Amino acid sequence: MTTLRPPRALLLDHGGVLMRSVKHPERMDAFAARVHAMTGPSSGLDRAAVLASITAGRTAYRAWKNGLVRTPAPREIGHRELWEDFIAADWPPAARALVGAEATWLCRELILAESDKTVAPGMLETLRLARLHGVRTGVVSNTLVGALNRDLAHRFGTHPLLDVQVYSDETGRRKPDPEMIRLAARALSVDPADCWYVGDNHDRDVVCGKRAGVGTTILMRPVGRRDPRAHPRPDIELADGTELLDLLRTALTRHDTEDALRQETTA
Amino acid sequence: MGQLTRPTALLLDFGGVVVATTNRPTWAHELATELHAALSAAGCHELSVEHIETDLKAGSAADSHWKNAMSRPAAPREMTHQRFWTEFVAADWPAAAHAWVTAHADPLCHRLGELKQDRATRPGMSELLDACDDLGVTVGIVSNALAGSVHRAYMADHGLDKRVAVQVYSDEVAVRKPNPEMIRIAARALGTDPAGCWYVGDNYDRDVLCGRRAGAGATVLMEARGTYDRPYIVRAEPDAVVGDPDELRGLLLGAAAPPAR
Repeated sequence: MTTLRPPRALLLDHGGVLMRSVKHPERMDAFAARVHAMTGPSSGLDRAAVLASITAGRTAYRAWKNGLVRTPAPREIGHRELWEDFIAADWPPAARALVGAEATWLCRELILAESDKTVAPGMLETLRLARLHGVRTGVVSNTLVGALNRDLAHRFGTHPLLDVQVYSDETGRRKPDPEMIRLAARALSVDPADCWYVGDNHDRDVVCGKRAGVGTTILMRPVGRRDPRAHPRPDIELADGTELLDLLRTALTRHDTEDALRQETTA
Repeated sequence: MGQLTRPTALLLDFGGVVVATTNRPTWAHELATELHAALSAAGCHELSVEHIETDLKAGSAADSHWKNAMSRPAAPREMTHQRFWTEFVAADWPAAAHAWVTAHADPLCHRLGELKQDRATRPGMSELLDACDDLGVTVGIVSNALAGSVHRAYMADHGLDKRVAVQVYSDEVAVRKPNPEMIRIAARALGTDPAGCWYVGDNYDRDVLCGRRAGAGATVLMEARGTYDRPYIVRAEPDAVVGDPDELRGLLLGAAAPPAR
């Protein structure tokens, strides 16, 4: 770590790294009520059945993601697939067709109901520091609705600080498919070996960073929630954005000092 | 053609029926300027604004030709956002710019849709929707779109989203008119079948053909800018031609009540 060089590009996961979210499970009732109202009384579904289907569908989607994480190039689920197959497979045909046609809109509403997001401490400063030193920046994230993250970037002022944003529902591929990171690096004209990639979990992020050949793969996760036996190992483990800010600052300062020394010696 | 029967559901095309559109000739320059700034920030400096603008226009022209060709197959699929950018616009761009538009294809399609046309709700639309409410006719949107999100935003901004029971956009469901699946999806979602629907669109090769293929209860052509600029003649003819939403309302009010179930 003493020789850690600053990156040419800093690539960040979204949830758990750039943004912090507060879950609101209590909102799922109201969301189910809206979906139920949409399907109408003739659907034969009651509100409890709609809520149960949404809950089961979300659980199955998580299980599907956890299964595919073992494969070399997992794909992302489609919005219609989530609603028609994971949530509403056994609904009456009209209700199933309706949520299929409105799937993109419903996915947006589902994500908005699930949690509220804010920029994680230290991250705005990290992005600004990167920008100041000409380090390019990007987001590489698994998402159901990446468009909502783009909206958040406008709302929280990170948009002008992010040079590229790669979201799985838009590309159709999920991390740990290394193409997710490679696409971001390519868009920034940087080799993955010259990137830092920061993610908050082992099986998506660390695996993805290693597969993509990222220069430094960083796991950002509270100390108590790390798995010491997980493989592959990250190059660096950090607790939060403040530690990332310190790490970047240190790398940039050392680099600047070394440059200055080198220039002095050659002079 | 005989007397029309009032439908269970009225399915409306978006552009040309719900809204009148006018082209914005500056769209390509504006989008090229925005894209140039974004690519420069990401470190790609090879493309000038003019280069991007030329390729945007060429890609858009090629897309129009492709769409015209796609009215011949029985079940055309819709263009994907990524394909539009990576193949129609940016196939010969430097690797970095190509990768950047790959990652940003969704928001770029949305922005293109915002910039390319101005939209205004056609006069009489509100009265038409009122009449549908009075008659108990459910309304749905069935529309081809590069980015249906633009149409959804328009509907929401103008309070129209609350007045329709379903919106079907081709980029979201991956098939495009005249694929009859477009109308079937809407009919299924509204608990009816195509025979229980009127389908109203503003052109022959997408709309009238789609209504005919799906077996809509009535296929209505609503005249709009470009209705008679057909790329080629298709044999499908509408059951009725109306000039505007008011005439459609008249047609609906004059239709025979459906047989009691």
